[in-house]
Amino acid sequence: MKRCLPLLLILFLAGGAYTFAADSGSGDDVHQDAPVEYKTNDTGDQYIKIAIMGVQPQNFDQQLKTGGAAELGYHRFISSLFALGFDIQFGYNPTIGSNMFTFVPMTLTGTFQPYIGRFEFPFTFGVGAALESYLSRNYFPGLVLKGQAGAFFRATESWSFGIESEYMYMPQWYRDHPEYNDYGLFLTVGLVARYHF
Amino acid sequence: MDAKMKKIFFYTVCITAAVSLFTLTGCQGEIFNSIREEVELESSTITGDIHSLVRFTESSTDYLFVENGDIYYKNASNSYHGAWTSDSNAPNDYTYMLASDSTYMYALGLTYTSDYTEGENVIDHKTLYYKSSVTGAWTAISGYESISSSTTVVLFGTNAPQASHRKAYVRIGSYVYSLNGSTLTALTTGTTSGISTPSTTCVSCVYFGSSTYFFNYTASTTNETADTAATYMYYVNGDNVYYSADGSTWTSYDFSCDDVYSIAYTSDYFVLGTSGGLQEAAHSSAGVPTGGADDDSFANASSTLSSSYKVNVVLAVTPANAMLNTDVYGTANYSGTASSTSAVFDNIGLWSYYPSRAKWNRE
Repeated sequence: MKRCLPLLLILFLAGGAYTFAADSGSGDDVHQDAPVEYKTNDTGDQYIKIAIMGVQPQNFDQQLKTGGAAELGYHRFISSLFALGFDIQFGYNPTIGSNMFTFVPMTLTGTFQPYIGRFEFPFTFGVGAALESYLSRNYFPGLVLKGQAGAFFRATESWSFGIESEYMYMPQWYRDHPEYNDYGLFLTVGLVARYHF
Repeated sequence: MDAKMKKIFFYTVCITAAVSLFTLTGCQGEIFNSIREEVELESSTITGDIHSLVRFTESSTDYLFVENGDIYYKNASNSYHGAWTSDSNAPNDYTYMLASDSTYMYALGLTYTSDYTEGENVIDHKTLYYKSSVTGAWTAISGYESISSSTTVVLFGTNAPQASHRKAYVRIGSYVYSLNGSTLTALTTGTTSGISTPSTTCVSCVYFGSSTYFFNYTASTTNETADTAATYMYYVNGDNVYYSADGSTWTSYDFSCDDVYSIAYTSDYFVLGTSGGLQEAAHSSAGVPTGGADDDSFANASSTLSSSYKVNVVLAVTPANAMLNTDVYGTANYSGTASSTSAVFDNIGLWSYYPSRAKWNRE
């Protein structure tokens, strides 16, 4: 994990550097005479989301109990309805045997977000890698696929608040022990705050 | 740097980081499969620090005795949770070790006193006890009621499946005595481990042939069963098991695991109590080690007596049976300090595996 953090930091900073580099000079492109159409979101708009959520395992009977997670994400609109970004989640589920399963999914996401008035309805698909831990064991990288849907109220120009639910698929494949191959399905429901800029 | 160069730089960093993540840091610990093996834990009945779990036979009935400061016993055939009975006659001091022979039970008790200068309890003296029946009274052995707290006292025995092969010994300082009720007989001591003469630092022994062999290592056993005599004896130094069929020639085999503190024999596996949990290692039908240790062959052991715990004591009740077909007991204690481990306080104590339950659980 310690080796991962610098690499993730590099990814994060590189993404940020590219984003700001792409922005530089854009202020020169304003055309005073063009007709102006006001949209809630448009190309180049960005938002950061912070979420806390409950995590309900779907295919573990009683072995995994309901847990929790927190998520941090960055997204940028490439059109008025579609955004690309990434999410990092930190989640846990207690086991029936008083142990703890923890997971850190890191996903690249695409979000389609229609809106009605001040209500926004993002539908997100994400794919990425997860660090999964249990006792002294780690599984990395584990594939993560997730689908997300939510409803938000745009309270101000900069803030929107809402609820979001996601369904997450996390398989574990073992090259040397295929008999251990397994997968986890997790449903989350959480409260989300988004800062738009 | 123009926009094209920035884009190339960005993608280069991303691809390099992604490749590094996937190739340099991959690990594939078994997780979901182990979680599915977990069961809801029973309430603990024997908790705390345990140093010995011994067999005792009375009127052809096999019993098990265990200590955690107090003493508990159960009929060995009671293969279910909660069958232990508190020994109401247990000595008033803290019972630290137990041993047995074919006739008597022995206990080492510690009497504590308060050190007000340091603000802690310290051992005042040590006492040897014996008794001759399961429910009988413990009697302090004359002359050994008040052994100095600074003297090392180790109580141990062969703990053999056959009652007639059970011998008990105590090492007091560098002197080793055989026990027979209230009688202690001093033995000649040497410096070599693994022979029938005890060393001045021996801590365990086995019954093999018609002799007792003494070891400087806590993990030792034989492949004796209730009906057959031993053909091999074993002791473990670190993670290397040494086995012998004659008591003079020893062959080593590397279990490749954490340090082994205790070992029990079943017909297909050695059960190992290690500094990193309970592990298993396969052996041939003759009893020769054939495989390194792992922690995923014994039901849910890897998620209960896991690497967060050290296992000081293991006992297989019926060594003639396969590992999954005999009652097996193991003890859990902190591996490292209590504040530096993910071990759970409630899990410190005695654990059991019963074939009818097919899972490990707190005892």
